[in-house]
Amino acid sequence: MSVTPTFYQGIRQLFTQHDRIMMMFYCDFWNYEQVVARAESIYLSLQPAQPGANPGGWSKLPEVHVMPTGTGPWPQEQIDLFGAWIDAGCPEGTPPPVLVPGDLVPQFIEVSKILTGFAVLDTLGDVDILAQRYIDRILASEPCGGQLAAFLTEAETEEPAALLNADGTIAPAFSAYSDVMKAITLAWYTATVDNSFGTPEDTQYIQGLEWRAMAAHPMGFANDNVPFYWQFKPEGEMYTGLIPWVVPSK
Amino acid sequence: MSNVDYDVVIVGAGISGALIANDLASRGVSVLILEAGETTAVRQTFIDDFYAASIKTPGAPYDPTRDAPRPDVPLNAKWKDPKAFDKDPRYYFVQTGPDAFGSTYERLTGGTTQHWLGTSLRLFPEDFKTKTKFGFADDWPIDYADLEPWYTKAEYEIGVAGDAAVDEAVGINHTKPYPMKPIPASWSDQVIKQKLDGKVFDGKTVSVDLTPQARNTEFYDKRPICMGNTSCVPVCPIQAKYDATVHLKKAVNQSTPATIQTKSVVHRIEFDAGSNDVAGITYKSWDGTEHTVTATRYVMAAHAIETAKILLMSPWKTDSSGKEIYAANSSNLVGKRLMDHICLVAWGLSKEDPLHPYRGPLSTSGIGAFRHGDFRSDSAAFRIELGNEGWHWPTGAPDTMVDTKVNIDGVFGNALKTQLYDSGIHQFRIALELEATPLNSSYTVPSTKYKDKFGIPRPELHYRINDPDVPNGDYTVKGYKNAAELYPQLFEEAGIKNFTQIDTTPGTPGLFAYEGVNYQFRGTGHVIGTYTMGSSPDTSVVDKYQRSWDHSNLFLVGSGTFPTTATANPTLTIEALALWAAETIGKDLQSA
Repeated sequence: MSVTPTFYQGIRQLFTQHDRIMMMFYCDFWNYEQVVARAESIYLSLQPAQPGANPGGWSKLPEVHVMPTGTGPWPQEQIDLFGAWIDAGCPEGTPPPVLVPGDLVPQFIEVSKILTGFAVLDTLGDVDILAQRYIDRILASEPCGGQLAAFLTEAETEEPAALLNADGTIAPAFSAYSDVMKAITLAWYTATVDNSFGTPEDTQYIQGLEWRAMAAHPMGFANDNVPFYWQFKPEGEMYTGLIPWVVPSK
Repeated sequence: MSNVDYDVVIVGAGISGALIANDLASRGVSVLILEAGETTAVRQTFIDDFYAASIKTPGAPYDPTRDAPRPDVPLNAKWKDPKAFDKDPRYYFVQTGPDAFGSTYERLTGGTTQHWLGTSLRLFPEDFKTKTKFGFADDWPIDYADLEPWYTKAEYEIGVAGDAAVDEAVGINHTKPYPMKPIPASWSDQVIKQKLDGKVFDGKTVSVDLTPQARNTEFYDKRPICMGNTSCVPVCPIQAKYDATVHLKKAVNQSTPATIQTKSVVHRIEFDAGSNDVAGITYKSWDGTEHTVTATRYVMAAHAIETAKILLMSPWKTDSSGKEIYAANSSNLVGKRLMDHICLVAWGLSKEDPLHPYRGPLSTSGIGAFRHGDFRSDSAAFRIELGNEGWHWPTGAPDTMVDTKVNIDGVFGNALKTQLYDSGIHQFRIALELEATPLNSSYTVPSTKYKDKFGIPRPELHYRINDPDVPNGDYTVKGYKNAAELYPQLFEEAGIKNFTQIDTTPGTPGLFAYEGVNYQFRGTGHVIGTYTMGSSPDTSVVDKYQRSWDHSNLFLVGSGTFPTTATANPTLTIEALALWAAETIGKDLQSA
């Protein structure tokens, strides 16, 4: 006899961060109230495709045409689990405890250097403040929040390079931590953690690493000292639109 | 006429309203501007909102309001649901189709110049005479020579950086050079130019040329030099890009200062029984109270869609059969010929040469070869704009790239950084922007069913880009097909691997089929043609001075008066015509 799932114990984990991000304009899949309000509709959309019909998946949600194709349709057992949850009256369960951030910052920055590929991350202006904010946001976000402390502890016992395989994928020993590793990386790159297409806080947007990765500057923020810098081909960090590694505080 | 409130009442604090108000105020004329929206916030608020926006649309920095709602770009099948507005005021339009109108405007001081790109192209001389030269649509009642002095005046008023030699090489003559040297070409432009210049496509020799733009290359009119923030749409963080608040500020600082009254939603033009003259303008304040203000001259500058809507909400008289005639509409053309430069957005990756986008103004160059020529007797002309923002517009990059790499591919560390670099620096995007076809079957009316919070009808759009029932009705889509066949050749020659995709899910905004092939267009924000200018009151709404044929004290300005769209972004022509109208009104008042 299986245990009746609750939102926090069994259901929320079914929605990947990718699902959540792509469907944020419709519903926040990690928000209990929002999922309950749309539970029937979501359940219908999960049903396998009929022959000749549109492929199964989120695309059947009313008024929605952008579907997250990355993870594909759910297996039947996940659909059944979701259905059982609805039948049980959509119980909420117990939200996971929110950890109090402590002195996680130095280790967080160390693993972030590996995960982002920016070995000089610790020279970024405001790096401690940013790290603390990202920690706070990751801790408030499930399932990655619950993994953070354990991940940082475990990562500390290993050589930093052991986190990743040579091709940049997660090393087998850390596969259980993929959610938190993704969250950390997205935070530094896009300045968003629990809301990838959502609201970057404060000045985090202009510090996103995705722009620097492309030898460019955040749209809406350029402070290059070279007039009309865009006519030149970037050389290292010259002519990217940013002063190298100087990010002003608000 | 001494018992009126003002000499001139202007409806709308956008580009036309601002230029006319300042011009008239400088002549000692008392001017009131009624603006439906709010006063422009502190610029930093817009920037903060832009930074925080989930999807960076042209409306991203501008908070949706229910007092003066404004539309946003249609992103999904909701574009056709009139009730979507109840949850989200950005679904302001009531759209019936068949096509999805993909363009927007702002309702606040400064109007849509708050989010415009700044491109300041003149029309070609042949654009004014397409009927005579190509048998297409109607001629304008003016020609290039008539407008040239006003183009020049506009360029100096707003500050345009450009190279007149580029224009003159194709027959667009200048009596004065642009006031500022041009914005330099981006690195990406330079690479593409090297590959394409002098090459022949469809019988046209292509040249990648600098775009004239209202963006400073020197300290001009007390505004700074462009720093290349790459967010011209929707907000320039430093106002190096011109916006109409510049002239609003000037207007209120003239010795006879203009008055700007915000939060005043105009919904009716008043007439005295038996008179053809406008007798007043009625508006609702955001507190719900209704007021009427009077003047000797009235200017509707509320945007092509809002102006047409207000006219069609203003009863003027009844005809002999008892049918209601609305303001300025004895021709029955108000609201009709709703147009936009629909565009084909194409994107790809440079196979070898890095282009280094995501730097500089959003666009610095374009290809003009397909804007003019004899082929226009067969199909629509188009302009090709080169982008400097990688795949941001079509795909939401770089956020979406990071999401895919991390969440789907599971790539981290140096590999992630390297892959983003390799893709990012090679990204390329163009937009092929099509001349529209003026169709009476493409129109806007005030909705009889759906209203805003004040009970004022929302604009109902019956938009179409193709009408098989009229001669030349497929002029634009035929041009679109040509553009769709051309750009892969340009890509090939420029060493670009094509990654352009369209979403063929039924209901997708912009999806259309022509000759059995699916295409997907986007709007460009160039809303044109709902109260057309012409040489006869039977076939047009205003004369060449933008004066209503029906009401001698009413002027209708903005791109609503354009008989045809041609292929230039409309703002410079709007400005030139507005300055001309201001002079007409000024002289009118002087002689009165």
